[in-house]
Amino acid sequence: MREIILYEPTLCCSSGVCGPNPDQALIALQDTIASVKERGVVVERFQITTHPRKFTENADVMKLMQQRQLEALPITVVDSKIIKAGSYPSLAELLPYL
Amino acid sequence: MANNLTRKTRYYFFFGKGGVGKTTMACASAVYYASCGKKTLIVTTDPASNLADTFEQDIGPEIIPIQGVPNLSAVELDPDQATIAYKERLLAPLRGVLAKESLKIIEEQLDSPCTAEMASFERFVDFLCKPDFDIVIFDTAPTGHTLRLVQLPGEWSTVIENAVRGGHNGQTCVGPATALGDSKLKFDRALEAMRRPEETNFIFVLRPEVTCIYETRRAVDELQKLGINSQELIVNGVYPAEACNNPFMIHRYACMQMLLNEIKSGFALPIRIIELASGEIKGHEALREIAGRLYGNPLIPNDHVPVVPTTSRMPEWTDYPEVDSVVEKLLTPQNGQRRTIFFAGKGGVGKTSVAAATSLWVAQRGFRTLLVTTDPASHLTQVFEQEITNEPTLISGERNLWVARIDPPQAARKYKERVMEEMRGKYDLRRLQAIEEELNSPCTEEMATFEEFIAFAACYDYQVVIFDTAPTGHTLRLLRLPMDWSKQLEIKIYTNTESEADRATKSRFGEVISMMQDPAQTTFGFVMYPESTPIEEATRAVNELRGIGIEAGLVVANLILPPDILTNDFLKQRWVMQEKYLGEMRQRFRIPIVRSQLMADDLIGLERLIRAGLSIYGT
Repeated sequence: MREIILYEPTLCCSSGVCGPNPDQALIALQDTIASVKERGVVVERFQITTHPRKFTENADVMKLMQQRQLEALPITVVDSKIIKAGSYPSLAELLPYL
Repeated sequence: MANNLTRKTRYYFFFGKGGVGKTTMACASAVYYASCGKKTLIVTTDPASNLADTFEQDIGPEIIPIQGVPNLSAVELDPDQATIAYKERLLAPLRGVLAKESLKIIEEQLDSPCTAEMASFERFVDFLCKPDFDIVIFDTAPTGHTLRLVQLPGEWSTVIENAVRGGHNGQTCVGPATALGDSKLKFDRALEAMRRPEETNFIFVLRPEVTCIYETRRAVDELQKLGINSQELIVNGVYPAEACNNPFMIHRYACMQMLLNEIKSGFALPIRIIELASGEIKGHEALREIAGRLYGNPLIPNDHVPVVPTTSRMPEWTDYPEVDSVVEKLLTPQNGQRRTIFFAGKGGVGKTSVAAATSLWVAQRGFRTLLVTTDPASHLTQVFEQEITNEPTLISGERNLWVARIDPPQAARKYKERVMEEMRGKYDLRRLQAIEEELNSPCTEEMATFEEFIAFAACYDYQVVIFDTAPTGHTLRLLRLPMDWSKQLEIKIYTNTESEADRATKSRFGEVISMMQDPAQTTFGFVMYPESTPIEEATRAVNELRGIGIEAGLVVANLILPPDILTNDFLKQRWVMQEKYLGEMRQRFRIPIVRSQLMADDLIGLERLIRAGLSIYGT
């Protein structure tokens, strides 16, 4: 695995700590990202409201969104292949691809 | 050299508390440069701009020429408009791909404080790169807000730099760092341009008043800390000597001269002095006259307003008989419920003084009272001659009055510490550092300030809570946040992470909103002086409040000339103007109006504040 792209719903900040109450799920994700990065994997994150063009550029992502609309988010793409949609991946879920 | 074709744009930033005549001075300067043949643009970034009123012409988010002034164009950066445009740019590529319902959700999600801040900031920076003008004049927002706006280029480029270095997984509050590459360059250039004296001047407009001098001092110092040193002062609203021919006015005149000397010796900056006009400054001719007085090149001879006949009716204090009976109802708790009072109005109309006098009036009637300022440029410490912090402090000599201020940087620090405390023990050091960096975004300050506001608004330890709010436009946006934040929380619900804490926050916001909408619990008082611009601004603010289900309940007409000092034509002319606008205010707002008289001294210290309270609301 060389590259993970996360297509995400709208967040104020990536960690969620910017909002009224820190969001545990997003903080856990930060840990996961840090771990895979240590293994030399490139991680990119795009939010639908800040990078809509990144979404439209990926035909698979668009197709899934047309079917499931916003419920498809977040979408995890590993080396151009969608491996998970609807919630964030755990480190255990990513490990098989490493 | 003659063949030097590179035309450098010059930027002028007008600083000052709202109501000191900043817009007038900015407009007069614009008229001056335009009449010198320079291609000039005047930009306002004030959420409560009155550029249109001053030029008596509609001005919008697109640059348009000012009629009757060759070489002059204007543009108004309405934050709401900027936000709409910014949102549309983001949404466009998704149209046709996503269903209507999904688009609607995304559109609502974009209604966050971050989007608004981001959108107006981007537009602000855009106007720092305008090569097609010789002169660009910024009629900026009032001091506290402006400072943050100008500080942003520095702050944000640090945030972006950290993000690019991978400090926190490539994201910032304003979106992934990759998308900000272009903007960073723009932000850096903006700050660089502001630091170069051959490109940028900062002009501080102030009135010869203690609080005003203090605030200017603060702004001057803060900008110098940012490396911005090319500064000038305009002292506006100095009484002409010939208008001061009675003991009251002679006293005021002497005070002003003393303060003028203080300004001259206290600031090592070039100073221009503009005397108070007997009438209003509106329209091109009046602006040209001011321009002449500012830049020593009289464009037209000083014309004089016709003298008012001495048979003018004197003010009658029985004009508003209904007021006495309602004041009690508007300012004190009814049916055992806590009373909340908000003072709104353009900065500089005396809102802080009125709020302070009101709080003493209420406290002395035996109610446990808390006065809070949400104005980042607050001067309650000067007014009460006592240190005011973000913890309610009992005013010495009083039994029922506590005062607190919300200080945005301090609130942000507290907020950060609290979040970090919650995180410690749960995560390793590296993770904690990443979270801490995340919290350095400008959004944190906005958020933290808002949290403190909500905490005071939801605090029932007092019988009366009075908010000396931030200037109009900023206030409205602050008040609107609860609505936006409820939506922001819905986003989290939809990412399936709603927690007990989220639900608690949401219900607290709901409580504060319904409290603000209930006139039995809450009074919105608008402070203004009886002149055209403040009335126009207040009208807009009242309508905006109505849009979020809040009705204005009281008008405080401030700086009313006492009837016994009208000893010359200058004062009589000003009195006639005030009477005209008091009538206009009555017509326009149709709610109780109380009058707050011009005092011989600045409202500093308990004794004067108590006297002022009694004169406004009666005994």
